[in-house]
Amino acid sequence: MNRGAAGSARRHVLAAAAATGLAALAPRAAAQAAGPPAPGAQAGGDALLERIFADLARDAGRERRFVERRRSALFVEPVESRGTLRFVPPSTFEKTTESPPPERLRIDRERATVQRGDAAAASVPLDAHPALRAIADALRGALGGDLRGLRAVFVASLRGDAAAWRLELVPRDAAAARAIERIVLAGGAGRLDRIDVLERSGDATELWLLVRDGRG
Amino acid sequence: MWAALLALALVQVARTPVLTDVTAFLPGPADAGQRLLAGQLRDGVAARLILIGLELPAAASGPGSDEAATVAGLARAALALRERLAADDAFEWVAGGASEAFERDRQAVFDARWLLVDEDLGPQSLARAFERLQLELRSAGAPLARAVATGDPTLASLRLLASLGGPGPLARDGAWFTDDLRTALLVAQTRAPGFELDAQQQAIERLRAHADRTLADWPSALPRPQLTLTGPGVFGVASREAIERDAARLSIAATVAIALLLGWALRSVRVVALAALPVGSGVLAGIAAVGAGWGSVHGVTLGFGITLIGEAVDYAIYAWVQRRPDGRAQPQLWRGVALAVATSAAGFAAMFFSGFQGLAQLGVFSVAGIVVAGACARWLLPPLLPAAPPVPSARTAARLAAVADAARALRWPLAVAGLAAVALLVARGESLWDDDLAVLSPLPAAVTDRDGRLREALGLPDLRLLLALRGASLDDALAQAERLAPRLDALREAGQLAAWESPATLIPSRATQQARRAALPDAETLRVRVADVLAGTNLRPQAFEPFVRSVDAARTAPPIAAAHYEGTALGRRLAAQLIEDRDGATALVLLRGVADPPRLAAELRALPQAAPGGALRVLDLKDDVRRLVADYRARAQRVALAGLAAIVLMLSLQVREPRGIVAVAASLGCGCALTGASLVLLYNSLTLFHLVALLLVAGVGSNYVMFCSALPAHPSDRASARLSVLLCAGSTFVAFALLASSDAPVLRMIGTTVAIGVVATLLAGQAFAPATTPRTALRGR
Repeated sequence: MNRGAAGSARRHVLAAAAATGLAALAPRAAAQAAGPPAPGAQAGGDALLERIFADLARDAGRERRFVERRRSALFVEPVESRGTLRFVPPSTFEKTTESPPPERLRIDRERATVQRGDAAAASVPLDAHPALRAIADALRGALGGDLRGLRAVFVASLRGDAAAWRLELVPRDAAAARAIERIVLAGGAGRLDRIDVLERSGDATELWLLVRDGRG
Repeated sequence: MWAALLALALVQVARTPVLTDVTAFLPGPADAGQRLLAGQLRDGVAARLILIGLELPAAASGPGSDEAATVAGLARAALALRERLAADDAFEWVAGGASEAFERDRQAVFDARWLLVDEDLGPQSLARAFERLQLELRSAGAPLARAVATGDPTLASLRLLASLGGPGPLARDGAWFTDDLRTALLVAQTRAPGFELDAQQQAIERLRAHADRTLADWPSALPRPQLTLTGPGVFGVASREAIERDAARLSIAATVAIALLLGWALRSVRVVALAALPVGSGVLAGIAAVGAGWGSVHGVTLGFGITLIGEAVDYAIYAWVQRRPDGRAQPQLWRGVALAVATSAAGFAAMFFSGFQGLAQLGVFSVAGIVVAGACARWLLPPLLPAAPPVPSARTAARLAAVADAARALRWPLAVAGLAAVALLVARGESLWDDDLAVLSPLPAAVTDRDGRLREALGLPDLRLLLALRGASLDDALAQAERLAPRLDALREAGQLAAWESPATLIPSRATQQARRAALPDAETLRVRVADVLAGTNLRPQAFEPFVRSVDAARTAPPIAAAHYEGTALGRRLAAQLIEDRDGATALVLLRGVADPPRLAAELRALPQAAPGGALRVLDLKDDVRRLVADYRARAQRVALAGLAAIVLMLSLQVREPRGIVAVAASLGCGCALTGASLVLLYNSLTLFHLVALLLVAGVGSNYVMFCSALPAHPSDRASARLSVLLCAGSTFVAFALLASSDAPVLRMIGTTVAIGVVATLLAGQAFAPATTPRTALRGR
């Protein structure tokens, strides 16, 4: 009932997309589930990657503060926001933004749900929005330390070593790849430090995960 | 000559197709609204839809380690099935998850956005819109807003898309699913109209074959999904199968049972075989007559074919049993048979004059069948019958007389019971009748439940309430739909409905498009305005040049018409929602998530637009159909009473004696009332088909009453007459008791009614018959 009822200009984009339903539904090709396994970027990369993700998995569930900076052809200056990220096993994560605008994003396997202020929560099916899904998959995989999950959706290539690594993710799904050029995870010393999203539009988001004591 | 006539009838029968959808049996629509309603029911927006589910068996384990593999497999199978159906000519379109068509929907709406919405592009509202955009671009929904922002910074296209559809099904791995991920969903629309059941059946068979091939390589390790099909066409085909199967099966069973009964009673194979002659002739004549008149026979009419077996076989029995040992008929026999034919025909002829196609078919079928069977028994049968008729033994005669006397002793209790039955029926008034068409559906409730579940998961609008806006032209109809929009919005705000779908949202009227176009600023004005509004903000004016150019282009763009949506899912929806005819056009507005349909219908009908002569018609598929059926039934009720009166009148004219007339009227009235009351006690309410079957009871029962009240003078003749009546009643009872075992409600109702009715009228006929002192109540020749 509430899906169609809001209707006013106050409804934000997610709410709109939620109600759209017939929305893009761009082909998230079944191939992605059956596709070939991603090759390691280099010999021995797989072992390193396994180790890195084993560390990340151990860290999963810990709440991390973040600072996010978004650059866009539309913006004069990059915009910055802050908040916390939390992974809730097995497959949910929450991103709470304090400013601006304060909102709470909750993503599980199927849906992204956004709560902003007192407004009713709006929810979109991820399958209808390949770009959102790709970002959600990357965040979930990185925060939860789920390498297998990541590799199912992205072609992953690793650079660096255990002390300082960079994992480049390119969406396998054609529709996602039309919106997202690549997502780069970076970290070291058993910790995830940064998530960069480069969109086809040229827009880019850098998200730094802060360590609790203020380092990073 | 008889053979020649039969051959002629056979040719006609072979050329006559059988229809079985119940709507076809309904009366012809009385007014424009009912015509639209009947059209929607038979071939409307939803009549061609087949809802397809690939469903995991209930026994399969829930979420487990291989759940992801199963879901992915289901999705692959659903998408593969979609490919096959899309390539099949039998289907106009198929939808199920990921589709380029939806991308095209988005594009079509985006391209037309400045003519589809009232967007204030003045400085203040533009400033507010950009503020909102900035917020969106910083939120989690940024990728969605970003995708359209440069061309549509007010996000008008997203809002419009949001208002267009329901929530839509859950998508997973590119396919649509129910929320529990156990059923993958597809929707297909057949090319053939929903009421063309042969074509529907072909489409369904093709669909099943496609599904079989798709699932051929399903991994054996995973639980194998089952194909679930629902939808009006699927139901129609299933109903037809059920009715045809039962009608055929039970006709054969009844024939065999009656043959056995007669064979046992008459001890003559030859007579039994000969009895088939009037029956077969009658049925053929009935079908031929209906085929000649209408070009097709309704399945329900054929269901009544069993009626003729019961009735026509009676004539053969009378002809044989009531013969004298010298091979000549009893003096009053043919007069009696003629009267039996005439009274039964009178009852059914009344149906012919009801003006309803279904009933008229039944009337013609029965009258033609009965007359031909009677004639056959009178002129064709006697020379063929064995010379020596059965003469009931003295013992049999005594027993029969004893039974009759016992029945007579029951006359007062029966009279009281009859009066009580009448009182019960009268007291119930209109609540006596159940006019819900669903009652007549031969499908189990589980099937319709499944349909509702798939429909809900697919986010299809529920089609119970339908708003039809009539205009002198397409543009006029669209303008009428636009006028209704604010009212619908208000009702939505009030929580009366979740959403509405109007074709005018996608194709605004010319006037509206013109007004919107005229309100759009030119490129230079807008460019300056954007620069002004964005000065000092974090948004760069140059980035929104696509917006400026698209607004400018819309100022000179051709008006949006249906062609704009060609090849999109929205285009298909529009085609279903806009109906043009010779006198004008109708725009259909669909509603979703209606909380209380009768209440909403009442509120909508109170709108000025819905006043008599207004453009708006509120169609409540359920209530209107119910009203249609009730209307039909009420008229059938009058016709049935008239038929009953005609029967009593004819018998009275023959009896011509006050006491005899009272006996005849009391017997028939009591028999019918007892039958009706028994049905009410059994089923709590009666339907149209009970009513028609009651008329049949009156027709058949009148024969018993007549023969009982006008027994021949000669004792052995009298015993023969009693025996024949008993045999007739027995054979009719057997035929209809079998029919009562049918799965198809229509057949079951007819069967139950007549089986009870035969017993009741026979009992009443015996009970109210004048004392055994023989009377020559029938005038001699």
